[in-house]
Amino acid sequence: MAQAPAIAVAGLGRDYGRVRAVDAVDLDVQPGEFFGFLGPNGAGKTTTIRMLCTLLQPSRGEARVAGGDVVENALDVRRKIGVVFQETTLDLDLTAEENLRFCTRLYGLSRRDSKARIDEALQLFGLEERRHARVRSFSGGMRRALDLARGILHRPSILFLDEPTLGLDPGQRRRIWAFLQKLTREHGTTLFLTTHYLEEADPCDRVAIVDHGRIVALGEPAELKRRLGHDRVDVRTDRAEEFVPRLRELTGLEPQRAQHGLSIFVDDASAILPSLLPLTADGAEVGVTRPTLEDVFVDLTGREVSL
Amino acid sequence: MIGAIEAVVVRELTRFARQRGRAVASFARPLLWLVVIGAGFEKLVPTEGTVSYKQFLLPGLYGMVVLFSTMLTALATVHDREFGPIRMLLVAPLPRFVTVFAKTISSALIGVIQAIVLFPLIWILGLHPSVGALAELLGAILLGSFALGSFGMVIASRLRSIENFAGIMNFLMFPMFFLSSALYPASLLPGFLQPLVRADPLTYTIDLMRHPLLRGLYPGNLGTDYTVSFDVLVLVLFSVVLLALASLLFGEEEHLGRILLVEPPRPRGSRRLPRLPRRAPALPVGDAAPSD
Repeated sequence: MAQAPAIAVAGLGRDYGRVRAVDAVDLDVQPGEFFGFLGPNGAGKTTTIRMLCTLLQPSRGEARVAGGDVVENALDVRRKIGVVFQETTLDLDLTAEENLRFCTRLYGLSRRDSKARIDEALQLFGLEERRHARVRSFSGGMRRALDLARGILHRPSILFLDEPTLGLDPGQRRRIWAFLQKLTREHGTTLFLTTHYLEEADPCDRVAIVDHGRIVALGEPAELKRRLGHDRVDVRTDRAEEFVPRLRELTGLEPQRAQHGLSIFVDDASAILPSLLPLTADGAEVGVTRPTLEDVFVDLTGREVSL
Repeated sequence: MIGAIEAVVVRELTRFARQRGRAVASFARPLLWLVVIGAGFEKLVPTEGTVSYKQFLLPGLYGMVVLFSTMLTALATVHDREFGPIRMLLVAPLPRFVTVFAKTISSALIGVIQAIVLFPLIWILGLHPSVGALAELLGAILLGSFALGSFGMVIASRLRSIENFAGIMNFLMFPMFFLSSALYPASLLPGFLQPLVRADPLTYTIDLMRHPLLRGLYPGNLGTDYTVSFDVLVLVLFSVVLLALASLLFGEEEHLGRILLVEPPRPRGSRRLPRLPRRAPALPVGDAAPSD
């Protein structure tokens, strides 16, 4: 761990007038790490990513990205990072190739390098056949793939992705995720991404959960789930009233109402499952759900909301 | 950096070539003015020299083409900002000045191309400029386009959405046109309008174009207002100042940030719940958590 962090952020914050979009964010991302930044809409994810990409000046704190300060050395930082935004940045009136060429030229690549990289990128994303087609005719998934190709064309050491799979179908989402994982594994690219598809954050090395412009949790997905520390036992029934006293009796815990019937929370579901067997005989269905990242998320941000 | 400027110019020209409607509209408008206004005014305005009113009007129409085309191209930046492509430029390792300069030179070139298409009118209206005078005319169009393009960039940097375009056209572009020397020598306008006439880059652009076209003729009451060197000096000054201002305004992250901010900042204490892709069935886990 002697390596300098790819992203080092201390007390980073940003206000819009009197509104605090980002309060104070502290985090370090290691080179080659796959880092997820999660939070509800309006939590400050996009504002944070924009500050890290040198698009927004922080109101306070500091951030070093790829070794450079985002305010002092903005141009150096921009040279080393790639950014894929929530919405497409492609020019719909240009063809796939023209869009990519525009981009390579902006990064000062020579014509020859530019051609080689464009060929490679189009091949990688299976867009060779659409090379000379205008982007306007592309589907959402193809546009997103091309956008991603654009983001890595200049071989950035850090790639920022703001909701990279928003609006894509599951197949396209899987392909993009597979590609991103390959990118970190094979090229050692650091990935910093925001998403609110929480199940997608599972392959991240670490995730930070933000709410109200602050990090409320930071760690490996498995560790965060462990921290939540409970399994959920669901009792599916349409006669919930009847089962409340029986569940209370059998487990000594207070059942919670849920859409499907009742739920109880325990540290280890396997310990109490046998005692719930009699319920199944009366027509209830019993199931166990291990905590997901989503539960962690709702637990953390939900508590914040109810304060 | 040259590569980047070239890339922006190529992109803008490609877009221009693909948007036929835009080009057609930009030719149709001045032709309409020439035929209708030109014919009407020619009857009304007594000429004292050897210059007909239509000949006098021609540089004004080139001015109109250049004004509309540069403003349109510059304002397309607002569209870019709303729909994305400008972000490629903003995250590229280029100083803001280069981005703004590249955009401005593109809009100037498009202005020049559109004016050149209307060059045959010179001979149709019975003018016979020398090759040198034609080169001078081209230079005037380029310089004027650049000054107007940088003015357009200043406006574009302050606009939030392209929806304001009608307002810009009615309250900025048409007044600029009428306050310039397009339809009449600028000196004919009353004194209280003179400060506006002099603040209008189009005045000098048209005056500078009129010099080579009317050279050798006796203009009488339909002449030029300033000397060539004065026009050039003013237009260069306009370009430098407006370009610097546009770079400053585009570089102002505060402003850009507001426009680029997709997430509206949430006021603290609002109780909006996180929007989550729910796995069926939904559970009120937040309320049921055994903590606290």
